[in-house]
Amino acid sequence: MNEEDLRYMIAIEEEGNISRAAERCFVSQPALSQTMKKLESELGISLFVRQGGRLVPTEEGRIVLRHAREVAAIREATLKALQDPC
Amino acid sequence: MQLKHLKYYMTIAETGSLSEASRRLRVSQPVLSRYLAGLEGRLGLQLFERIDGSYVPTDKGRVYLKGAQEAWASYEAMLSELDELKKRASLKLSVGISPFHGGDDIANFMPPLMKRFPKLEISTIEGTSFELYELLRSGDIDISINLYEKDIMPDLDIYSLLKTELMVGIPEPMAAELGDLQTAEDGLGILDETAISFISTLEFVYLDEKTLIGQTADMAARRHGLHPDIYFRNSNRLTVEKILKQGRYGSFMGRTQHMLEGMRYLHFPERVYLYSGVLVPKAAAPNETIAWIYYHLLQMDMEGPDRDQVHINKRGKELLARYGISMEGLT
Repeated sequence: MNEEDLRYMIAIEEEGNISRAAERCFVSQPALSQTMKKLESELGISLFVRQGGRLVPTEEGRIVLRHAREVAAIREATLKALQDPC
Repeated sequence: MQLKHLKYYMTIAETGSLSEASRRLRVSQPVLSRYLAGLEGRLGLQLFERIDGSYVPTDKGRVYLKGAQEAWASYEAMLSELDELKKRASLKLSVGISPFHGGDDIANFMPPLMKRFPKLEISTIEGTSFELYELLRSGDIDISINLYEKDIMPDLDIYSLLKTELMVGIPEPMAAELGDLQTAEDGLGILDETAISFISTLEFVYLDEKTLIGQTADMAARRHGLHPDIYFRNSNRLTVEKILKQGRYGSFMGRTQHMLEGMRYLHFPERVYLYSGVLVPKAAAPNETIAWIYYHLLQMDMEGPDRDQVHINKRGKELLARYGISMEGLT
């Protein structure tokens, strides 16, 4: 699991669809699908289900997303603090 | 960046040594060296300095360390939450319920329970207190929501909900013939010897020995030499209550909201109590689903007509505390 995976997941949740998420992350759709499959098998869970033509996170997916956003926020705050000249 | 790299960084900072870190992490030292050089290169910052052969974080290195620790804690929390969910997902629970109040119980605890444990499979079986007792003993059900008497059910534990007094009920017109009885602080009479010999001439209708009330009534009656003419016994409380409404029979009854009009209720001299609650085999391990069922039933009883009889035992409090369920909402 890496930071990219988490960024992709957030994009899929916000776009509700793989092709728009792929476009937004500048990766191909098959590559994004593949990455998500790999992540799902690594964690042993499914992250998204299709609901009315839209991808929505499963209960497990919501847990991962919540922590993905937390990690992203920590990363951003840390990078900002590192750029601080003092 | 792989999340496991956060652990690399934390271990180097903690041990101050690449060789010790590589031993703990079970990765080769060149891998750690390359990782650190790569990270410093990408950030354009020096994160560690060598002091007396030891790797010590610089000021920037400490900023990065704090972030790494926070992110790693979040990652670990995620793994443990997923693990918890997997455990919940495999939960099955078989619940024994009473034919009288089981419907109310289920209607009350199911919606919040299914919200909390979406993959929980619950099955229910209806039965009298003794039928459910046998099913608990044989392992066919996990819990029974019913009455409890410790001498009769020595191999069960109870998370108690209500404490109900067993009383003798006699129809008002017949009670008038009893004359003055000693009364308790609630204004109800207490069975004395005169009352006992009078009651022994009355015809009684009450619950049979398949129910705990029936058995407890038999024990209490025997203890006091009370032998009323038993006219009818049945395990269906509603049937018994309908007959009692005719106003011609006496009965042994729990003192609940079901106290019937037109009946006068008398205390046993030593007060006989029945406890109702969530019953589990003594050998069973505590379980979070059961804790929530208990909580929702308590909530229902505290808002219901039996609120005066709500009784939470130590075991019940411990069960709630074990899963961090606050009792604050229970007032």
